[in-house]
Amino acid sequence: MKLRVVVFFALCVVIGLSIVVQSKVTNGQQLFVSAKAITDYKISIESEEKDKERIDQLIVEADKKLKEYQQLLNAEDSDLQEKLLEELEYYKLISGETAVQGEGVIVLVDDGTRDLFEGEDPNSVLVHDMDILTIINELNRSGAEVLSVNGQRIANNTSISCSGYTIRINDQFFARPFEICAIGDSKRMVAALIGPEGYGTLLEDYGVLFKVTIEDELVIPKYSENQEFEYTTKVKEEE
Amino acid sequence: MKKISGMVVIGLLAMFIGLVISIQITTTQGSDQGGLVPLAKAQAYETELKKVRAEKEVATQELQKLEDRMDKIEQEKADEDFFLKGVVTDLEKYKMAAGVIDVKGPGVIVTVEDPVQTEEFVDDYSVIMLRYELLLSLVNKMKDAGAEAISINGQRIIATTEISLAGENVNINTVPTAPPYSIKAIGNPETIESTLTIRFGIIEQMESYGLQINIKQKDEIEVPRYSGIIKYRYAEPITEEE
Repeated sequence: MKLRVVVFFALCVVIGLSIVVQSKVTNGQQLFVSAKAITDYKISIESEEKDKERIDQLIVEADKKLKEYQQLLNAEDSDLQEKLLEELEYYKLISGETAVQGEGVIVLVDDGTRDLFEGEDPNSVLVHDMDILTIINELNRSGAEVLSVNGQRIANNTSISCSGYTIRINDQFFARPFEICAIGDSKRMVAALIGPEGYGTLLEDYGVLFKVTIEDELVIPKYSENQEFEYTTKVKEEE
Repeated sequence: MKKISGMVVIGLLAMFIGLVISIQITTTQGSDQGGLVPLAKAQAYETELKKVRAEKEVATQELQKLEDRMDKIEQEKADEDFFLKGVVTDLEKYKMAAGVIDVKGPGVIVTVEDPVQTEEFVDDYSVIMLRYELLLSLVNKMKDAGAEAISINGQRIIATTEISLAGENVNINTVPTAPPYSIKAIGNPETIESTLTIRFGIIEQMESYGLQINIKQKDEIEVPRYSGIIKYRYAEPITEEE
């Protein structure tokens, strides 16, 4: 009889303890969070951190430039003028207002010529805007610096859109075949496109004609339109 | 009697071991695997994200200050010299076109969120990340509608911006990004919205994957500058003789 009481008491203690421990571990409230939400948070944090690092680098650059400016300000007038002209050239270059040359690749895509299977959608052998966008994206991913499609320089706001039988690039219409030129690390770009999982391989499997050639000397013209901003203005720091 | 007490002891031991195991599991596994997570832990991520964002904001302001001072020097010089005035105006124009300054203007903000997650039905992958070409297409449609400056989650879209699936995350301008995605585009708000929401258009296409899309027209939005340093290693300018 006495033993029973002792055992019962011990059980009570264990259960009581376990409740205490549990509540301590979970810290009261709980929330349903999926694994995905947590990874999303982590990536977002990583993303902001990386962006901040890049801004820090920009600060270093800007600081350097500002010092240079201030030095030149005290020196002769023509020095600052020279510096400004140099700057002008640089921004002209990166905004696509200068023709450029360098090593790179030419990607040629054209509609497939093979016979269709019975009941097959003809779209599978045709080239679409999305194909060209994806090729450009792949090229960018593998370090392309300057690109053009059918001689049209790809600027920041260049869109590529299918409209009927033609594709519109920079407000000009082009029909097949499409020739995409990219200046950059040609070996890397080719590898990205024609690798076993590359987009070029995929297009070829569909029956679309796809050809990549490496060029030692490619010339890409400057952006042909005027880059004007109707809605956009510069953000200035409030005083 | 003895038999019973033996069983009780074994029972007690079993309970104890069970308890220890359960505590072990909750403390070690509960941290990152998702599922029921203590509120405090979820909030910790939120606060950390806020902290990093604030730090970035401070850095951005510092950069802005430096640029403003440089602008001032340029302006001062430009006022003195007619030739330099032209140079400085051009400089501003090209900087704007290159996407290396923060800009503002009217436009639209599109937010893209993954399908709603419920306790019974959990995706451990992100729909929008797996179908990142939808983002590519969305941006292209915005440009088509005349958008002048676009950013995705703070990453300015320039000519050489890539959107690529790298392992578990989508890289934009080599910076990893995660949903929810917020895409800002400066331009004519009505034109952009109508282009996107046209029947069988890109928004409908995205919604067919279960993504939650929200479009808002705004009188003023800010699009940040491209945060990388653009340096060409292969491309060289061709100097024209004029």
